[in-house]
Amino acid sequence: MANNVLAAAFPALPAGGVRARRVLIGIAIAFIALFLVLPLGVIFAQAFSLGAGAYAAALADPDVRAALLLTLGIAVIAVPLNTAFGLAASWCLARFRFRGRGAIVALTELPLSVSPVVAGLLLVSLFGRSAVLGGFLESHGIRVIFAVPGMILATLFVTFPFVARELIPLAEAQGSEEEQAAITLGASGWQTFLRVSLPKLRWGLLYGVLLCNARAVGEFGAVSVVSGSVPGQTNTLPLEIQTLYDGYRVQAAFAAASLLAGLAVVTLVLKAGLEWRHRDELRATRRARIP
Amino acid sequence: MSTRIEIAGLSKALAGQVVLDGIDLAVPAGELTALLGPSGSGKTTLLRMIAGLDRPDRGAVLFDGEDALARPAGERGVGFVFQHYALFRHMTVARNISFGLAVRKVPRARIEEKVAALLRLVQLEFLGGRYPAQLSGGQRQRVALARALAIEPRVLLLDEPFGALDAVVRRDLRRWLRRLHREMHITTVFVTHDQEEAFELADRVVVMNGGRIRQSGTPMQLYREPADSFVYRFLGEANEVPCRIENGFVIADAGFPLGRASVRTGNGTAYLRPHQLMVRPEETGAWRITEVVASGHTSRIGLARGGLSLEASLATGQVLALGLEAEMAVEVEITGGMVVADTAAAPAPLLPGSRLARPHLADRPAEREG
Repeated sequence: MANNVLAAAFPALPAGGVRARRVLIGIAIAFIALFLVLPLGVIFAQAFSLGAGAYAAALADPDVRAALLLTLGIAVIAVPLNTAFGLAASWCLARFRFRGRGAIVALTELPLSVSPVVAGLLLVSLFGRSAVLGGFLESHGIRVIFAVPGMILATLFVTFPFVARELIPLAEAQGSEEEQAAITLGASGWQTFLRVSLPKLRWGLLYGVLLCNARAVGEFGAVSVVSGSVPGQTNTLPLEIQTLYDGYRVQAAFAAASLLAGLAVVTLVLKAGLEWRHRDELRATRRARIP
Repeated sequence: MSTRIEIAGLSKALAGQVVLDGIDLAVPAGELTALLGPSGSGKTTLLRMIAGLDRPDRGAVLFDGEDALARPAGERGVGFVFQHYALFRHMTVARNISFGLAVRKVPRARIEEKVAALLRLVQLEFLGGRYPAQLSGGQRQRVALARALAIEPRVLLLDEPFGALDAVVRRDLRRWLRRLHREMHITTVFVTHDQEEAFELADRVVVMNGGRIRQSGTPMQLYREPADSFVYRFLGEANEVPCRIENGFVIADAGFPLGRASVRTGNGTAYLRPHQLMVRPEETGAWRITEVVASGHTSRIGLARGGLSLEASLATGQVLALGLEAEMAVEVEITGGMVVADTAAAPAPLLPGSRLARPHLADRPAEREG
C-alpha cells in the first residue's frame, strides 16, 4: 500500500531514489512497530505474565465483569443516540441554508476541543446535588451524578461529534438529487430514506459509528469525574483498570486492559472484513465523481 | 397513451425575485418540446414544476385536463432525467433501472423482464451489473433515461439532457433520442440552452427569458418570424447595426444603405446573421477584410467599413476558392436580416435593396485604403 502511494508520488526514481524509498518505508514501518504494535504486545504480555490461570481469574472477577457490562451498556445507549443525531444533523445541514447554520456546524465539534474533564465538571455543576437541576431531580429520586445516568450523559457529550462530523461533509458533497430522483420514481419518504439516503451514506456512517463506539468504550476523563468510581457499580472498564492499577494489581489491570484492546482489534477486523466483502462497490463508488 | 400538458398562469417568486411570470403553455400529446433560454430564464424551474419537484405560487398544470398540482411528484407519472443524471451511486445499473418498479412492489419476475427490455432499449445489455461510476457520461445518461422510462411515465422530462457530454457523444445521443421518441411517442419536454439542440430535436421550441415565454413555435416559425430581437439573437449569432429608416430604406448610422424594410421612418437596429452576408473580392469594394479565422467547415470573416465592424461566415472551401484574406477590399451583399425600429416592438424583415446601394457604393472609393 505504502509502496503504491510512493510509486505514484515519485513515478520514475533514479537508482538513488530507490534507496531513499526503502529508507522512507523502513522509517514508517519502524514507527508503526514502535508505537502501535509493541504497546499492544506489551498489554497482552503483561496480562499473561502470571499465566493463563491468573488471566482467567482476573477476568472472572465480578467487579471486572460488572465494569465490562456497564461499559457496553453505556455504549449501547450513547452510540445509537449520537448516530440518530448525526444522521438528522447531516440531513438538515446538507439540505437547508439558514441563519446560524455555520454556528451549528462549529458547535457540533465543540466536544472535541473541550477537555473531557471540563465536560465532566460541567455536568457536576448542572446535575450535582447542590445545583438547581440536580437538586430537583434528586428530590424526585433521580440521581445523576455519581451514578449511571451521569456517566451516560458524559459519554453522550464526549462522543457527540463523531458520527455527525463524518456525515455532514459527505451529505453536503452528495447533494439531494438522488433523493429527488427517488421521489419522482414514486418512492415514499421512508423508502427514499431507507433505500437511497441511508445507503449512500452507509460507509461514512460505519466509520462514524466505529469511531463513536471506540470513544464511548474507552472514555476515561469525563466519566471519571461523574462516576464516583464504586467498583462493581459505577466503574466502567477504563475506570476499573485505573482502580486495579492503583491497588498494585498490575497483572489484573492489564488483563482488563486486554479486553479493551481486544474490542479495538475486533472492531478493526470487522471493518476490514466489511471493506473486503464490498470491495467492488467501494472501488466503484470511491471513484464516484458523478459531478 | 400520450398525455397533453396544459399550463396556465404559472408564477413563482423566490426571495422577492421573479422566477416565473405567468407562464401559459400547451404541449400537445406525444410531442417533443424544447424549453430554450439562457441560464436564469426559468426554464428548469418550469420543468421541475411540471414534475412536482417545485411548487408554483400561482397557476395551474393539467395533464389531460386533470390537475397535476394536486398530486405529489411520485404520483404524477413523470419520468425525470436530471442534468447530472442523479443515478443511485450505491446501486448497480440494473437496480437503478428497477428502482421505480421495486418501490411499487412489482413482482420480481416482472421487474427482471422489464429491466432486461430497457437495457436492450438503451443498448446497455451487458452493463446491468456495473455501478454508475464505472460508466461513461453517455452511458450514464442512457441509464438515467431507462430508469425514468421504467415506470412507464405519461410525461418524460429532461433537464439539459446533453449538457455534460462531449460533442460527438452529444450528437449521437440526440439522434438516438429523436428516434426513440418517434417510436414511443411519449409527451416529452426538455430544457436546453443550446439552440442547435433545440432545433434539431424538438417539434416545438419555447424560447424563455426572464421567467416569461418570449415565443413558441416550430423551429421554422421561430427562425422565419422571430417575435423580437431577443429571440432573434438567441437563435443564432447576429451582427447588430445601429441604423435609421427613411421611407422604407434602411441606412446604417455608419453612412451606407443596408436594404429595405416595411417600416416607414425612424431610428432602429438592424440584425444581420453572419451567413446572410455574401462576400466577394472587388478591387473597388467599399469593405475591407480585417481577419479570416478558419474553424473547420466554416470560416469567420471580419469586415469593416466606415467605422462599422461586421462578422460574416462562409464555407471554408468558398473562402479558399475566392482567395479571401485579411486587408483585401471586398464587396458585401446583404441577403437578409431583421430591422427593429425604436418605435415599434415587432421586427420587420430586412429585404435586399441593391437598387439604392449601387450609387452610394460608387460614391466612396476613398474608404478602401488601410
